[in-house]
Amino acid sequence: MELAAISNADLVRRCRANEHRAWREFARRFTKQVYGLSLRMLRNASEAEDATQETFLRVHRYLNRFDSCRPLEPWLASIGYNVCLRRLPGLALTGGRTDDESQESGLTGDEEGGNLMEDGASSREEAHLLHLSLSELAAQDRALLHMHYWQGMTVSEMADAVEMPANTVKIRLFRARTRLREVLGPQLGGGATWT
Amino acid sequence: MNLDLRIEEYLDGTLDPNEAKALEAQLANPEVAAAFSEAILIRTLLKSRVELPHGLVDQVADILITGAVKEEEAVERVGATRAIADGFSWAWKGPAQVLAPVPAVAAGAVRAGTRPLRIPLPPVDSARALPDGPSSGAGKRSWWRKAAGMVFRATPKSRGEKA
Repeated sequence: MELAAISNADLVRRCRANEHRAWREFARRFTKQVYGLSLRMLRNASEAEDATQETFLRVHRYLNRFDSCRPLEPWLASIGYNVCLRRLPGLALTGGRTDDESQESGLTGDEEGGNLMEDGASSREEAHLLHLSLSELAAQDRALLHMHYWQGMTVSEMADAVEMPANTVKIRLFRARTRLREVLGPQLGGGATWT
Repeated sequence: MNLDLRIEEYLDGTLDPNEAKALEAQLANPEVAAAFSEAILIRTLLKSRVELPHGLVDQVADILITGAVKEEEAVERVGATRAIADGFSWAWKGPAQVLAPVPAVAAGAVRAGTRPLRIPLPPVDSARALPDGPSSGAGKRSWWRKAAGMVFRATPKSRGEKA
């Protein structure tokens, strides 16, 4: 069977058997997820790249401890989250970056939002605006937003990944969204223009 | 429940069906509609695409594969080291233990505080193997029991055996 078509559980089994092709597929499948989370938390492309590599080193080391009955993505997110947290004390937890630094990031507008964005330029502009708005939030809250909206993780999966009670995750998520809306609302001219 | 929270749960698909219907009925209210639009907008923005740096996937794959190769090498190294150690152990103890019958060696080794090497032995034909013939009761002791008794003199009496 083609490796790209196999389930995550089978992929993990093959990686445990040290199949090189399986490891390559593992990297192809999950690098984007880990890098995205790192970038959201660290807000610096080169830092995020280093954190991604460190995360995969840990994944390689601890894959034998992973319970294959459970979904892989929350486990990966958990490792990535902790790697980024350890890297954060050297950086600002919230805000403080200049526009030049934010340009370093690789975030661009989503194609899914094409019906809302008039063209590529406005898409980039809004993604940049979002990037700046996210800087108002704590790194942990940025991570939660990323896990929930980008990776589609449930509250209980996120609670496991970040080792917080589910209610705390819900509250932090709610506050983060509210804060984001407060920051974004005036700059986007209110929700009415986006209906 | 707070309106924003209900909207989020509605969009997540986790809102109770009855509450969902009630929320849909409220959409005619401009305030609710605006909150709804904002929630959708933020979701859309948060799904912004991540562009991977060029070559990062290959770098990660190399890290994983290099790790796998190192692991294989480590396993081979451990196996080779163990084989050498086993060979050394055999060269040191092997001949002496093969020459002496196993129970005597085991008794001596236990007393001396060492662990005997476990060697699988074929079943022994006692009539041929023992010079005194098959053991048929008290008073008859094989040559190796006598020898063991001479070497480890304290054992027979302390265990209640006849001398």
